[in-house]
Amino acid sequence: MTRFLFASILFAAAVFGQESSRDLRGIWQAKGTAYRDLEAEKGVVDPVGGKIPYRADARATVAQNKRDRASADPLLACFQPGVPRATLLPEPFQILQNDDRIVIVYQHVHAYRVIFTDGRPHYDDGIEFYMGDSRGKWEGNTFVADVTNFKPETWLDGAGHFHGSKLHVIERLTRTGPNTMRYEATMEDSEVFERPWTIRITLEKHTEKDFQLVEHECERDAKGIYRHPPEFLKRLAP
Amino acid sequence: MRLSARRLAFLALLLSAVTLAQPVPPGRGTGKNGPAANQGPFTPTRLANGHPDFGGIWMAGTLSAAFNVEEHEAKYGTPAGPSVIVDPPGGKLPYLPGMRAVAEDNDQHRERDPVGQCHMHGVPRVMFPPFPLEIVQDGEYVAILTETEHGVRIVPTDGRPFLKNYSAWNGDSRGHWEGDTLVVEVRGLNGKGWLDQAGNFVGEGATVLERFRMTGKDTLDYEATVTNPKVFSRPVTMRVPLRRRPADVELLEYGCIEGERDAEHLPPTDGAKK
Amino acid sequence: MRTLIFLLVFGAAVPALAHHSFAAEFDDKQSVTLDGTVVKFDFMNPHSWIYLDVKNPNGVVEHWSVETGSTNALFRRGWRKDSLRAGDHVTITAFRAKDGSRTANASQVKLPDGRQISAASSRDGAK
Repeated sequence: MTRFLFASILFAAAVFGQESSRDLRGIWQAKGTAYRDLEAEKGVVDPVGGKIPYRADARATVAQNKRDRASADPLLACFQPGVPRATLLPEPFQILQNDDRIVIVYQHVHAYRVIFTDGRPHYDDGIEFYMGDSRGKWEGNTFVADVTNFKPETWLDGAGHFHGSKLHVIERLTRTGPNTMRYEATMEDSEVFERPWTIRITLEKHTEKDFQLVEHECERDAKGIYRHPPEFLKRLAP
Repeated sequence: MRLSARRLAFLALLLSAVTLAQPVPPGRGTGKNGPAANQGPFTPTRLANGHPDFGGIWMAGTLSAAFNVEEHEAKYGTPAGPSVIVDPPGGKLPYLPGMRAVAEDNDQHRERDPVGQCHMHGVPRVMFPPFPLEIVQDGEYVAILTETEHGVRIVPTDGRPFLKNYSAWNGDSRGHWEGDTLVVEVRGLNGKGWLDQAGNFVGEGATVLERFRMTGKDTLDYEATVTNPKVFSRPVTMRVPLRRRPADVELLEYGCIEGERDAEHLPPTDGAKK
Repeated sequence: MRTLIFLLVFGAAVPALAHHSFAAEFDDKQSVTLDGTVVKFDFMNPHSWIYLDVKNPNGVVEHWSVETGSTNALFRRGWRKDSLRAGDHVTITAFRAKDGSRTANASQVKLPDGRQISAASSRDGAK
């Protein structure tokens, strides 16, 4: 009898787990501070050692970006954050899920992505987007999004880690519990990186009653420079 | 009470059965159609939760409202167009004394248009720009994504209260269903947005009541009633039918701030709002 | 250049498609024809930009910045990020900026072989 009980419970868990684990819906937010510096904050899980495998001719640009980041970071100029940076930021985002698409709405400057899952192809390379072009599919209980067609101007974090226009990102989202998700992203760009590399962070679901995204809209100051409202800017400040 | 092993096993299997019988996350195009559409109002396809499926890419059936919600002549290269105001009769915005002069001043200073400064359009203007928008329904949420300024409105329909002390370009929206009509109430508008390119405006403190109803498989009737006792003598209702775009149309990213290069050529804004 | 063939089909009168009014910045009474060489083409939003060198009647090269419609409007008319390249010879009819700078809003872009392409301008409703 106990063997049957055990098997039944395992079966129930498998079935229940299968159904709810392909459900990415909800309002999520990254844990931790990887958004500040993927290397220093130990966001990089491959290669071992946690260093982004920049080509030698790219390292000087990284160093310069880092030095100038207070004025040069496109995020501070209210650019859309790009992928995967948008998911790492200390602000919530909402996932809506339909049969043929998954939509991610980021609170940060209300950037959004529509990830088609119906097999339609990417755009040709004649157009570029700050948030890239995303197409996705399920592999077991992991949602895999393939992202291409990036504009090169975005950074990957607040420490000046940049990429080129050949950036290709593969994201993997896997539910790990009722309110947690594992997020991995593999980056490759042969003009900038010596080999592909991967980051991993944990996402947590917001369960506070009636939690919602609020509007995060940049404003132009008297000199015509776009700035984040202070309540959002201070979330980014190290 | 301790459950016997047999009962536990039964419960486990029951749980499995119930779980397997759950519908997959609400999608589009699933579910059954309503009764034949040859009698009475149009009956849309329904989502698994029974509500009409508004999902897809839409665009204002008439672009004229984007230029001026009132009847207008051709101007600055934009064509003439009719009023989209259905109430009050006469098709004019019922401005209080002094308010129309503000709109006319805006019209002479189009560099002040907040949309030209990459701000989201506000409600109801966001529903009828000359660019497509996408409606995505998922459970209790209706999201309206607009191409311009990658704008977003997320409308919960779960009856939650409005945010307090909220002031935003697209406001705070709460929806509920009345039969097959989605009714959305919008509060928390910051009032800085214009109503159209001609400088008409709704003003701070405005509230909007919207009604969305499909009148055909490719038409979505959109109506917005704007109330602001500081600007209008009575509520004013506009109607703009939305038309479904062809199936291969997708929203394209529309970053605005990143590429904004016109500002240096505009006359300096004198900061006058409204 | 091949992609520009699409534009012959879609280059006819298009409704004014801009997120904001042309009139804020440009003067539809100040038409100008710019015959020059493309230095750079930025395919972007809210407007794409064609930077070109134009030799004025005195033989002096002037640097002009010409805006077109949004990427979205252009892309849907067949434009791509490499539709214009540095060194291309173009003739653009455009409306000058009110502030007197060498900035203009393109209405038509003409290639050396005579083909005309709509720039999906916010002003196009007039055609």
